[in-house]
Amino acid sequence: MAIIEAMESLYAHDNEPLISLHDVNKVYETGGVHFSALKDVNLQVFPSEFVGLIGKSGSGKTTLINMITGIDHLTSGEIWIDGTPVHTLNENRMAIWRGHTIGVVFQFFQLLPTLTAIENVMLPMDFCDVHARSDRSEVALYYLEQVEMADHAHKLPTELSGGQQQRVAIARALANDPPLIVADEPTGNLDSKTADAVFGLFERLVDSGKTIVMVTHDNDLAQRVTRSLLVADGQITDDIKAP
Amino acid sequence: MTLKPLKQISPRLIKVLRDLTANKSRTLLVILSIAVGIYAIAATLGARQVLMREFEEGFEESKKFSISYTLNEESTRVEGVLRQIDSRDDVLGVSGRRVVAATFIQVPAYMSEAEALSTLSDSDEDRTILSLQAAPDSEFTSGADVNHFFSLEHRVWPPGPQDIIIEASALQVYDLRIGDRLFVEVGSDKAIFRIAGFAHDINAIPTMFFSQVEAFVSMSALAQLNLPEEPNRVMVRVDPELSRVEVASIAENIQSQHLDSADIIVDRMEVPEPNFHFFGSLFEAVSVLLLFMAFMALALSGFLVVTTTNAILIQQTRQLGIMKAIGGMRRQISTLYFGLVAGYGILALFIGIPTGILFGHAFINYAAGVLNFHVTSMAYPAWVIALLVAVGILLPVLAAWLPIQKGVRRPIVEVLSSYANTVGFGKGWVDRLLGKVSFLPRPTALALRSTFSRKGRLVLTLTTLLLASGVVMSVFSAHASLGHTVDMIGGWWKYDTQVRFAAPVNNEDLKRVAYDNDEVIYAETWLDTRATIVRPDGTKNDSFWALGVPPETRILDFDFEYGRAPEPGEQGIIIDTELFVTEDYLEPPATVELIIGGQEVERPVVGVVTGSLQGAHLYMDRDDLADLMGISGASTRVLVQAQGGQYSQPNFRAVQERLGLQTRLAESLDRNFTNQNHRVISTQTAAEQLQTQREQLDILSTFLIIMASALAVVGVIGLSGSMTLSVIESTREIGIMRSVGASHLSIFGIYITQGLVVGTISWFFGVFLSWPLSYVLMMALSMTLEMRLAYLFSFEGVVIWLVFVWVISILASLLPAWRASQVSIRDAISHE
Repeated sequence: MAIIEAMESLYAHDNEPLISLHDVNKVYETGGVHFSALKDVNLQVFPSEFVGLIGKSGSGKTTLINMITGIDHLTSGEIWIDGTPVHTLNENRMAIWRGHTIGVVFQFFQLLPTLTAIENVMLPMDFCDVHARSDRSEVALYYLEQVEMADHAHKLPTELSGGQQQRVAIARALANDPPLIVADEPTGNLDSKTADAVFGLFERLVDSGKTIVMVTHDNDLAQRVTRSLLVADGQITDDIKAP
Repeated sequence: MTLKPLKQISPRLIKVLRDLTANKSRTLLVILSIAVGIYAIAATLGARQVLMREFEEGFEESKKFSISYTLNEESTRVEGVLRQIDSRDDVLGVSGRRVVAATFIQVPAYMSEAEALSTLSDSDEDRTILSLQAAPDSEFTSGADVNHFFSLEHRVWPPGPQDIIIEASALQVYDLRIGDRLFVEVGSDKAIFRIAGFAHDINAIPTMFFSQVEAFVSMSALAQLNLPEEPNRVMVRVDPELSRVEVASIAENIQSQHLDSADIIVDRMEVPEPNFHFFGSLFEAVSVLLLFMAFMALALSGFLVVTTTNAILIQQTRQLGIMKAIGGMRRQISTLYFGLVAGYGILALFIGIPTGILFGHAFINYAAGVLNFHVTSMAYPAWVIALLVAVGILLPVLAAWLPIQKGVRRPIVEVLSSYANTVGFGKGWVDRLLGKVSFLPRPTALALRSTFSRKGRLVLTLTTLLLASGVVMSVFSAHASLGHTVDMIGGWWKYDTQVRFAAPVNNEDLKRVAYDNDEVIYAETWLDTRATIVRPDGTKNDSFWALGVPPETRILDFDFEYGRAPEPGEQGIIIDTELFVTEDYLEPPATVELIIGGQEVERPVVGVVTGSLQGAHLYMDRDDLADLMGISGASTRVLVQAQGGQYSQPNFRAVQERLGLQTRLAESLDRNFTNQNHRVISTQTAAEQLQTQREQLDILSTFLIIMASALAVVGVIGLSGSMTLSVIESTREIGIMRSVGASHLSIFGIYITQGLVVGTISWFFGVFLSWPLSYVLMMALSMTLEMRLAYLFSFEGVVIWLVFVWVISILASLLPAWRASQVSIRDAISHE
C-alpha cells in the first residue's frame, strides 16, 4: 500500500486536471436493443500529458474521445474540461467552447475539399473570431510552418498526399491555440514513415505544453506516449504511465 | 494547381465561392435546374402580363368610338357639323370618314393598268371583300382622335389619290407588298390603287377571322370611284368611363342638336358597350390559359428548386459535420449554406431571366400578329421581375431551410459516421415489395430498387415530372376538345357548298338551277341580310347577320343553350351565343325590337343556340324575313348537299376529304348561276367554313402547345438533374458494381432504366392528374369564350405522351448514365 501511494505521489501533478470524467456512461439503442459503449468511466488527464487510448475495434475508444470533444452526448455522468462542465453545454456554446479549447484531428483528415490548406487552417479562426482578420493568414502560415507544410499552403487537399493532408489537419487543430488536441487514429491511414513523422509532430506539441489524447492501433507508436489507457468493453481496464 | 490567397476574405466566403466553382458540372446542373424554373415563369407569366398590358394600352390609345352614325349616302355639309360636335364639352373627339364596301383583285405584274381595268371586271377570279375607309389627310398626319390607326411601314404618308394603305392583319392571309396594284370595284365603278403602305388598326377585325381586308385611302381617292368626298360615317368619342345608357343619351342629343338640325339623315346610330373589343373574350381565354400555365410553371419550378437544393445539401452533410467539429456554430454554418444556395439562385437568374424573356418575346410577337395588336414595349412589369428574383433566390433559400436546419442539428458523430450518407433501402412496404421482385434480371431489379432508395428525392422529382406530364396531357385533351368542338359545329351545318348572290333571286329558279347539277341531291334556299337590335334603352347594337331559314331545314341542326325552335307558324326568332354575349337580356322568353331592311319590327326570342365562331347571327323564318324585306319568294343563298355526304355525324377529316367534290360543285354552280344571269358574289364550301372555324380555335391550341412545351423542358431538366445527382451520390456503389464485374454497358443500362422507371411512374400518375386539369381548363375556356366547348379526353394524347416520356427519360438519363459508366473503380472506392 505504501508502495502504491509512493508511486502515485511520484506521478502526482501539482496542478488541476485538464480533463475529468466522472461515472461516464454511454448507451446506444439500435432496433430496441441497448448497447453500453461506455460503462462508468472515470478519468483524469493533466496538462502536458500525451495520452494514448489503446484497444480493439469496438472497445469504446472512439466513443470515449467523442465524449471528450462533445461530438457525441453522454448518457450519464459528468465531463469537466479545463474547468468547463461540458455535459451541461448546449450545442452553440459547445461549438464556441470546442473551437477555443480543443483541436480535433480525424483519421480521414476531413479537410474541406474546396478550401486550400491555409484556408482550412484559417477556418476555425474565422468561426471563433480568434486573431485579427488581417493577421489570420499569417498565423495560419505559422502553423503550417510548424507542420512543415508552408510550401503547400495554397494547394487544395486533392493535391496533397495523405501525410500532408494529416499535417494540415493538425495545423488546423492548432489554429485557435487550444490547450487540448484530440486525435482519432491520426496515423491509421498513413504509411509507417509518414505516421512516424506525424507522431514526432505530436511529441513536439506535447513538449511545447499541449495536452494530447489520441486513439491508436499502432503498438509501436503507443510505446511513445506518456500514458497509455487500455480500453476494453467500454471500460478503462489499465492505466499505464511511462516511467 | 496553386490557388492564390484571397487575403482579407473570410474562408467561409471563400468556401461558398469555391463550392460554386469547384464542381462545375454539378454547379451548372443546379443552376440550370433553378434557371429553367425561372425561365418557365418568365416565359408564361411575363408574356401574359406584357400581352395584357399592350393589348389594353393599344386598345385605349386607339380611342375607339363611343357613338357611330351611319349617314344617308346623299348627306352633304357634314364637315361643318363635325366641327360643331367636336366643340361640345362632353365630346373628346370626332371623326368623319367615308366607309365603302368594295372588293379587290390583285393585278398581275405583267398587266398594264388599262388592260386590268378592261379585263378584270369580267374575270372569274374570286374577289376579296374590302372595307375601304377614306379619312381626311389630317388623320394620317396628326393621328385620328377616334379609331386611331398608324403606319407600320409606308412609301407615302398620307396616301395620294391613287394610293391605298392596307391594314396589316391582311398580311397573314394575303401576300401583299408595297407597290402591288389592286383592282378595286365598288358596284359598277372600278379603279386601280397602288399599295403605299401598311397600317395598324386594333379595332379592325383581323382578316384571318372574317376574310375581309380593311384599307385606308385619302378623301381625294374617292373621286376615282365616282364617290363624293363627303363622310358617310361619323364616329364620336366621349368619356370611356360613362355607361352605355349615359353615352346613348349624349348620342341622342348630338343627333337632334347637330345632325337632324342640319338636315343630315342618320340611317343608323350605334352605341357599343363601352370598352368592348370583339377579341375581348378571346383575349380573356388566352389570359386564362397563360395564367394557368404560369401557375403550373410556378408549382413545377418550386418542386424543381426544392429537389435540387435538397440534393445538393445532402452532399454537403459531411462537410457540415466537420465545420461543427472545428468550432462552427449553427448560425454560422446555416448562413454559409444559405449563401451558397443564394449564390446558385443568383447565377440561375442570369440564365433564367434572359432566356425566359427571349421566349416570352417570341411568344408575344406571335400572339400580337395573330390577334392583331401592336406591341410598343416588351418591358416586363417590375413585379414580374421581382417575382422571378424571389423565385430564383428566396425559393431556393426557403427550400434549403429544412435540410440546412436538419443538417446543422444532426449530431456530429452521426454526420461524420461512415453510414451517414448511405441510402436507406429496405424499410417500408414499397422496399419489401420491390425486394420480392425476383423475375427481373439482376441489373434491372437493381435499377428499380435504386430508384426507390432515396424516397424523398423520388417524390420531389416525380412531383415535378408528374405536374409536367399532367399539364402536357391536359393540353392534348384541350386540343382534342377544341378539335371536337369544330366537329360539333360542323355537325350543325349539313351542306357541301353554298352560293351567295348579289341580289335576291326567286326560290324556285335557284332550286331549278341547283338541281340541274347531277351531283346535287338536295338544295335549300336561304335569305340573309344585316340587322340591328334596338335595345330597351333606345341604343342600337353593331349590325349582325339575320338568316332566313326554311322551317323544314335539313341543312341546319341547332344546338340549343336555352329555349327551343319556333313552332310552325310562329314568328319566333333564335339568336346565337355570340349575339347573346352582348345582348344578355334576350334570354327566352323575351321580345326583341329589330331593324331589318329599314323597318322596325318586334319578334319573340324563343331560343339561344351555340355560336359557330362566325360572328353574331339571328335565325328566323325565311318567308317572314322575305316579307319584311319586301321580296317574298326570293332568297340570297342556296345551300346544297351532294351525293355521298355523311351528314349525320360529320367530322373535320370527313368534311376535308370532300373538299375536292365541294370545290368542283362550287365552280359548277357558280358557272351555271352566272349563265342564268344571277350575279354570284361568293361561293363557300363546308370544308372551307370548317377550316376557318378550326383556325380560330387552333390559335388557342397553338398557345397551349407552345406553353406546354416550355413546361416540358422544365420536366426534362428536372429529371436530368435528379439522375445526375443520383449518379454523383452513387459513385461508390458504381465502383463496387464495377469491381464485381459490371461492364460499362450494364452500368449505363441501370441508369437509363432508372430514368425510364421515374418517367413512366410520372406518366402514370400524370394521366390521373390530366383529367381534372383538362376539364377545368375547358370549363374556364368555355366561360371566357362564352360558348359551349366540347370536352374530350384524349387517350391518343396519353399514348403519345408515354412515347414522349420514354424518349425524354432516355435523353435526360443519357449524360448521367454515360458519366456513371465512365467511373473508374479506383476513383469510386476513394470517393468521399
